[in-house]
Amino acid sequence: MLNIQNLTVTLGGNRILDGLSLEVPAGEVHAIMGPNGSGKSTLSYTVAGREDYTPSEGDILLKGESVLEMEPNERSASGVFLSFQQPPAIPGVATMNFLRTALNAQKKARGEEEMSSADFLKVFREHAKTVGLSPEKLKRPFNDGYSGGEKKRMEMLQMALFEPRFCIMDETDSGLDIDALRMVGDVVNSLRSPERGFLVITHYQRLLDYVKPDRIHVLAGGRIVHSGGPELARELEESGYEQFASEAA
Amino acid sequence: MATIQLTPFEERLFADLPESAVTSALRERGLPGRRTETWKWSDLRGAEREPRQPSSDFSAPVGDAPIALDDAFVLTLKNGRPVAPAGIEPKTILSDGVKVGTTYVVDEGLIVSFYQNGRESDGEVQAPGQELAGVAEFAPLISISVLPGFEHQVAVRRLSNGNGQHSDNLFVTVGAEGRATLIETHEVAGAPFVNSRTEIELDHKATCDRYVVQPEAPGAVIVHSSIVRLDEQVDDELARLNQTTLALGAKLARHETRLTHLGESAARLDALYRLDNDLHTDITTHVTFSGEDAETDQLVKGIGDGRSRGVFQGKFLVERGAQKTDAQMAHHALLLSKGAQINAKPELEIYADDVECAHGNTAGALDPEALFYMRQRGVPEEEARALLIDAFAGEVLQRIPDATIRAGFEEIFRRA
Repeated sequence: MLNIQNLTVTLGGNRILDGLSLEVPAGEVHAIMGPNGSGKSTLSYTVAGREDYTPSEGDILLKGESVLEMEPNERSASGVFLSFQQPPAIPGVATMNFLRTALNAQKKARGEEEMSSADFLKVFREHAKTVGLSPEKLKRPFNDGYSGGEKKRMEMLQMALFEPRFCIMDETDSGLDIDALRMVGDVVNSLRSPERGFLVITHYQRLLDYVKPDRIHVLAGGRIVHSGGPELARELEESGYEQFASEAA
Repeated sequence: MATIQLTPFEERLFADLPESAVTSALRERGLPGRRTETWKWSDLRGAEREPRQPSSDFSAPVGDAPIALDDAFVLTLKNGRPVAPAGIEPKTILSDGVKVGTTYVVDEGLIVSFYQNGRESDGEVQAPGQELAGVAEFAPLISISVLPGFEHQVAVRRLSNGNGQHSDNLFVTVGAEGRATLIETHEVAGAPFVNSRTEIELDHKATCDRYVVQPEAPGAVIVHSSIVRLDEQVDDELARLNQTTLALGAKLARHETRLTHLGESAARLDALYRLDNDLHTDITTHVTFSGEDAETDQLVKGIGDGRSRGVFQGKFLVERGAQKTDAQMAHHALLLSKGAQINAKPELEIYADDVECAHGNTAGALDPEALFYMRQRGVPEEEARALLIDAFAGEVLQRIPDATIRAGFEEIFRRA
């Protein structure tokens, strides 16, 4: 499904990703754990196609097709969804108008029929209820005046709404309480399917109590230095990244 | 004062003015330009050197106004000259038995008069920078009066074309407890020099909702000077001006408002400008607080693309004794290209000690975080930029209380 090959990204003269390779098959949830500054967010921005995050080497394939030549919105339409670590507020942009524009832009790019306002509203309200965002909040401009936790709920609302093929969740758990973590788990689990893959980036094991990963990878020094089964999370929680970080050096 | 060498443009322009102290001062100083402190970013003198003849008659067909109200009385000015209202009987205005103008009772409580001459030509000599308002004051006076207690909507369409020069001189009064909605549109084709003047007097408890719209006029030079006086409150009811200007640029465009709070009164002085290519727009406001308890709230936003130049100059002058003044000024500019330029000068001059005055001024590009976020969600770049630009401008447009006018402004803004 998502196949990252020998990815090298240099930012401001620093080699942040250094020959990273990773494969997440359809139907699986993989977690990436790693110390601060190991390149976790760089990886997510590079897959999503952010300006300046252009790899000098390597390739990123989604269902066998390279996404490197695609604009961020084209990657989105082909199914890449990034749940942002720090989603921005967009003052003045009405939430529902933006999300309907986004959803229909994706559908249009895929040659699908666009969704009517009425249908959109119905689906939107359902998902809003699931993630626990009040209609009052949703009347505000996008993320305007939202707490950190509410912004993460908005990310999950969109993940449910867009039904992407591949979800990258960049520290979605940071700043969330137990109830919110459970909600994240519910959204991911409801979306899990044989056609969809997930890459969950996290510092902590606690999210993985709700989102059961198939594989866990340790990212250090810009590459995957160790991979293992779900049991690896607890091991990392107890003994830290030190043992693997030295492998990267 | 040392006399300067007048440009051929100035020579020709001043030649038609009656001899007076004002004219002498104009001949000594010339027109404002980059050496004039308040015009340094709008070099009118430099832009206009070749002589221009007075504009000829406007003969082109008249299209729809960029913004219109169903119930408004429409006054059309063609190259500065007013068109008599259709179907209304004219009455002669006599002064000492001599005809000095014509008046029309347009509706109950709404009177429009065209005078043959401008206001007293031996009037006060303008301060430096206000020379063009002085020139316009010599143009035949057009007066619109909303009588006390009446409510009216008036649209003034200034149609201009050709490559000559013309001035107009409009005087609007709103009597006590009256209300006027005043929409002024500049509809300019070709490359004329348009020098407009609007003077507004609001009596106590009167309100004026004023809208100035200037669509793109790439060939033209447009100077519009507005002079507003707000009377003091009576029974705690204030005279109010709610003004919104939408300016889309010209070869050189200056929209200047000089407002005086004579006492407790309230003003909103908003503007939105959007410029592309080589267009220029200058939004200049000067607010004098003469009495206690007056309030001005100002939000100006500008968007510059291409190699355009935007100018904002805002000044609050709080005179001695103008205690409890509440004055807020904000100017925010969005630069969409490397070649666009914005010059801003917010200024507070305060001689009273118990006042609340604040100003804020920012300029920047579109938020790259927001732009990437929207694209990640599937919105193509151009559409995402348009959404962000609309959101930026929306803050000014949302302050327009009338939904029809707001929608009209939004449409003109989006088309730009």
